[in-house]
Formats: sequence, C-alpha cells, structure tokens
Amino acid sequence: MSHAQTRTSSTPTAPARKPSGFPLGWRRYRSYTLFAFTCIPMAISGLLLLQGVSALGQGEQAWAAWLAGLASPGMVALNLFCLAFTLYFAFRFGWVGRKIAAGRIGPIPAPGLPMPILGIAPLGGFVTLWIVLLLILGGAIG
Amino acid sequence: MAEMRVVKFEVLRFGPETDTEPRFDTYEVPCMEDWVVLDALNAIKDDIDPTLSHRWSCRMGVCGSCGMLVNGRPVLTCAAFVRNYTGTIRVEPLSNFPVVRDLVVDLGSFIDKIKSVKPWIIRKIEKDVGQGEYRQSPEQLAEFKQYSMCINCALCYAACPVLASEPEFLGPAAIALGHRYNMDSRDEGNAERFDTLADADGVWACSYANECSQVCPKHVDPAMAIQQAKLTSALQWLHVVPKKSFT
Amino acid sequence: MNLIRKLEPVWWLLFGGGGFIAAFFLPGLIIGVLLLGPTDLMSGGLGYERAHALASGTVGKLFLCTVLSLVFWHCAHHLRHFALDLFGHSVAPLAAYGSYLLAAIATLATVSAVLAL
Repeated sequence: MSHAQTRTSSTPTAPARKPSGFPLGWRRYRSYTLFAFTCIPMAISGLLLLQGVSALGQGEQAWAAWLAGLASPGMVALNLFCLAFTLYFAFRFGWVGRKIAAGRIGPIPAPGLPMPILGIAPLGGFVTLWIVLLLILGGAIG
Repeated sequence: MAEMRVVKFEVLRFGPETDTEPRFDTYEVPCMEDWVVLDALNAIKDDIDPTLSHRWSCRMGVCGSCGMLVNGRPVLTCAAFVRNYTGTIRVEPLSNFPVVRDLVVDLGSFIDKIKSVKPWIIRKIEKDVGQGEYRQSPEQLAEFKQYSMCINCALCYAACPVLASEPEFLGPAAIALGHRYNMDSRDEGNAERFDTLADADGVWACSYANECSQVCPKHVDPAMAIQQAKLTSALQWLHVVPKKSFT
Repeated sequence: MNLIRKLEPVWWLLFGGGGFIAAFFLPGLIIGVLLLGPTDLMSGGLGYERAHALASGTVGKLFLCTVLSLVFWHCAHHLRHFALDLFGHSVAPLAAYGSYLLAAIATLATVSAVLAL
C-alpha cells in the first residue's frame, strides 16, 4: 500500500536530494553500518558450528579432525574476528533495544526504569549465560 | 554598534523557469554574534539577493517551517546559531524531498503520510458534548505525551536513510503520530490504523538507523515510537494482543 | 515480493528473537567450541564421548536446532536490510528472497545434521 500519493503538480521540481554521507561518510552512521555488518561474521560462526555438528555426527575421527582444524592460525584469526563482531552485536542489541523495553507493549506497561538500566540489564543476562555455557562445555557443570 | 562578523554562506539555488538543475550561490553576510542561520538568510533576502526563496515563520522553534540542511545536517535554521559553525556555511533544502525553488521543498508526500495514519481521536460512538469531557489521568497522558510534541518540521524525513531509497516509506513522524493516537486512552481507532502502520511500507521498512531521533528538535524520539510500534504490531498480527488501547 | 511483504512481522520476530538467542549463546559457543575447542582446557569437556552425549540428548538436539536456526534467520533479515542500505531499494526482491532462501537452506542443513547425531 503506497502512501506517497503522486500528486499531479504543475510546478516542475528538481529531484529529491539524498542525505549526505550515508552509509559510511558520517561518524554517526558508522556504528549503525558496523552493527548491520555483524550479520556476516555471526553467520560465519553459525556455519562453522553447523560444520562442527556435522563432524560430530560422523564419528570420533571426524570430530577430532574438525577440532584440530580450528587450531590453525587462520582459523583462530577468523574466529577472533567473528567473536569481536558478535560481542559488538550483543552490546549494541541490548543497548538500542532499551527503547523497546522502555515503552508499554499492549497490556504490559512500561517498566518505569531509567534508560541506562534498561540498556545494561540485558548485558548482565547475556554475560551470565556466556559463563554458564562455557562451564557446561568445559565439563565443570552437566 | 554591535560587532558584525562576515560569514560566507553557500546556498543552493534552483529556479524551475531558469535552471535545469540546482547550483550554489555564495554570499558574504555580516552576522551579529547572536544570529541564527535564518537571520542570515533573511539578511540575504533583504539586503543582498531578493530572489532567494525560503520558508520560515515563528523563528522560535515551534512552527516547523524553517527546516533545511546546514552543512549536510537537517536543522531548524531558527535554532542553528551561526557562531557554532566555522568556515563557509552550506545551506541546502531538506533532503529526500523534491525541490520547488531554492530552499523550498515539496512536502506533499509528507502531508499525505501524516493524514494516512488518521491522526485524530477515533471513537466507536462519539461522545455527546452534553455527556461531559473525556477524563485522563497524568499517568494516561504520560503514555503518549512525548509523541504528541511533533511540530511537523520533516527533519526526520530528511535524515532517514530508508526514505532516501524508498520514498513510499511511511516515515518517522507519521508512524510516531499514529502510535501517539494508539496510546491515547480516549482513542478507539487502533484497528483502523493497523493496516497503514503495520504495512511493509509502514513500520517494517524501518531499519532503526535512529537518524530521525538524532535530528528531532522536539525530542519526540520517533525511532523509539517505531520500535515499540513494531513489537506491538507483530503481537497484534499474531492475534496475541488485541488491536486496542490498554491505557 | 507480495508474500515477503505480507509476512514482514514474521521476519522481524525471527530477527529480534534470533538476536536475543544469538546474544545469549553465540559468544559462549564461539569461545568455548570454536576458539578453545582444540585446546587442553576443553579436552575433557569436548572430548568425542561427552560432546556427542551433550549434543545428541533431547535437550542438546533442541538447543542446537533452535539456536543455530534462529541465528541464521536473524542474520538473514539483517543482511536483507544491510543490502538495502548499501545498494538501494532496487535490490529489494533479491535481498529478501536471497537472504531468506539462504536461511531456509541453512535451517534444513542444521536439522539434518542434528538428526544425524
């Protein structure tokens, strides 16, 4: 449904001009563009983990080989790159998400907490689960 | 005699009867210390070049008429102090709108989008005047008051990167206004606004660049309204939340 | 494009929900498996026997299917909008169909890999 009804105007106009500098020209656009870019490193991590699941299903040798492959300097560099962007994503997701958390959504009223708290609180949740998952994977729990 | 500082202004000019495309004219304007860019534009028109066209009215940030790009950023020129800029100051009409003449843009699409969200109290049955006023508590007012502060200056439309490539996007001011009425306890029109707001060209076209809220001179924070409208609309689309005001 | 446009709330909910899941679990998985996996630190926890037992249990299978799929759907929606930012609205159909198709394929691959555990 288009809401920009084309009005027939007798006045000739010059074409609309674009906002300058998007997406990388202005500093304030850069964090937005960086945030958008995170989808690529995150997808790479997801695919690597999928590869791991597949290796795990093929037996002990495949699993050991896959793990060993991760130790190469190239793979370590790639995974650090992906981790950096995934962490940036998590922090920014919680931070910009505070605006949704700040308002009434249907029957659920606004929480009435200060904005910075709403932005930082999810991070607490995220960090907790990172630690719990690491402990589970490391064998300390479960 | 107050000190005047000569400031260079580069101003976009376009006259459809003489120009095929916009050009820039440079003016050297003696400015007082407390001048805003609008004062300089008026000085250009009064003393230097009477052919310059620009919109303005209240010169105190409440009418929304004088929005333009100053050094690439959408601002109200009545609130942009000359002393806060260094070097040549570049003044252009608002981006994302066709240019009618010089600094004047065609805001027709903006007006149409504002109207399309039905920005008025919708009641199933209108209350008779004799039945008295609608009562609203401060808490109920607080649910939407921020979103009611919009002065329709269209700076948010000029700033929005989505609008740059998708002119059909409903836009920040219209969505924030629709959300304002949906959050008003007196209103019963949530379902009537739904198709317009919850459209692929409505809230879903927004990519949360937050540029709109960065430039809004009245701190409406339309980006916040849009994200809240997204979650609300998604839950309503799933029929988990009914289309009504809960305040 | 009409079908894509009708289902916008679905894509966005997958983006948001997937974003939360990704924020909760992806860093732990990257650090624990992809970076520390080959090290001695994880040799006990991620040795084949234990790793397979963790992953192939009911909880493990559900976790892997849900987390990985949602990460892919989240990334797809974000990639679609990123493409629009970079290349403009002319690529809208390609960006939408392309990214969601990739997510669908990745989801199928995930489910089949998990079922094969």
